Amino acid sequence: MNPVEEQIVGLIADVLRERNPDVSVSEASAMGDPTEWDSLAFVKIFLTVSDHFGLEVSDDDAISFMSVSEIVDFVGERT
Amino acid sequence: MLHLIASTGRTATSFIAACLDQVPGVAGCHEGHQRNDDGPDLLPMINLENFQAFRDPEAAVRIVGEKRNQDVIDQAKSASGCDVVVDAAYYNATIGAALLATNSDTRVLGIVRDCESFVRSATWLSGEDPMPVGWPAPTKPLTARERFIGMGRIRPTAGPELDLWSEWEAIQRNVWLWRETNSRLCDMRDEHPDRVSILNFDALRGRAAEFVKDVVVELEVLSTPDYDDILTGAVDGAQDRVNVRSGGYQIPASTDWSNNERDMLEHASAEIETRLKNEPS
Repeated sequence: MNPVEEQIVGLIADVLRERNPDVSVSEASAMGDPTEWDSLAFVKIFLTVSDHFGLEVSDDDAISFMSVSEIVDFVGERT
Repeated sequence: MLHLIASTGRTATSFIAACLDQVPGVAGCHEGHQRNDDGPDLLPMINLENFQAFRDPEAAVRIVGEKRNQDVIDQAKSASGCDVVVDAAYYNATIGAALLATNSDTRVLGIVRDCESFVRSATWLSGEDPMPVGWPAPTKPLTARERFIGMGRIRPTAGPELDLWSEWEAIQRNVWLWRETNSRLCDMRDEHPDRVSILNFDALRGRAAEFVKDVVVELEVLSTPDYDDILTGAVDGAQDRVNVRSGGYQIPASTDWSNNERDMLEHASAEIETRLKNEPS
């Protein structure tokens, strides 16, 4: 994993561990897998990752936050 | 075979799905869940993709290719043991045209509720909305669930309505939502008059069994002419899926709306009513 990918996986893991300390997140993770990445966690991941990278996002950008790979691509385009 | 029921929401779609699920050979789904929200997921979730499909027809084709392709349909049929899967959901208004274009055996049934009662039932102005189908007031604090659902809700993407959007309160936003959704249903019927039909939600009131029979007839999902016993039993068995808006309506009747809100209601209602009357031959 490259550094940005590692940071994003770490941020997502931090969010999901609030619900399950044993949750596993990888570069292949996506909404629904792990199951803790549900609609409620989605919003928190959306806000946490955006805030971490200083990105101004709108709800139109939410579709880019459905998997680690999509988030990595989105952050790469915006930073 | 996958058929769709499409509407703005607040049109008894979970009840209708539960009724259809009791028809032999039919798996009735509400937003992808068989029978009701507690049933197994037969179809992949669509939420954020709803807005994408609304904004871009090519995205709608891609989403149908990913989430409603033949393998997905075959898996749903296999999991349910049924030859016919019917999914009732708000997002079918945005993906329906793409599915009709790719699946020649798909039928779509639109259900249209009158604009005022939809708007009044669409949202809560305060407190967490347990059924957030419409736009909340722009300044209302939202829970994560309300916000997530809102992220996939259609909104203007261009033109004067986009400019006005930030000025609109919940009533105007939901009148727009109603008009835009029902325009999509009319567009689909104009394009595919032999495979798309539209029922008036008012026809459900006081005649649930007959309405569900209308749904079955329009979708052509029951080959036997002996509908009545099956459907009466199905309606009785689905009574627990009747979603009464607990807590009542927080949006008042249109007599208490502003002039601008009433004007928008009248224009939207007249536009859709005209289109519904102009049934394709």
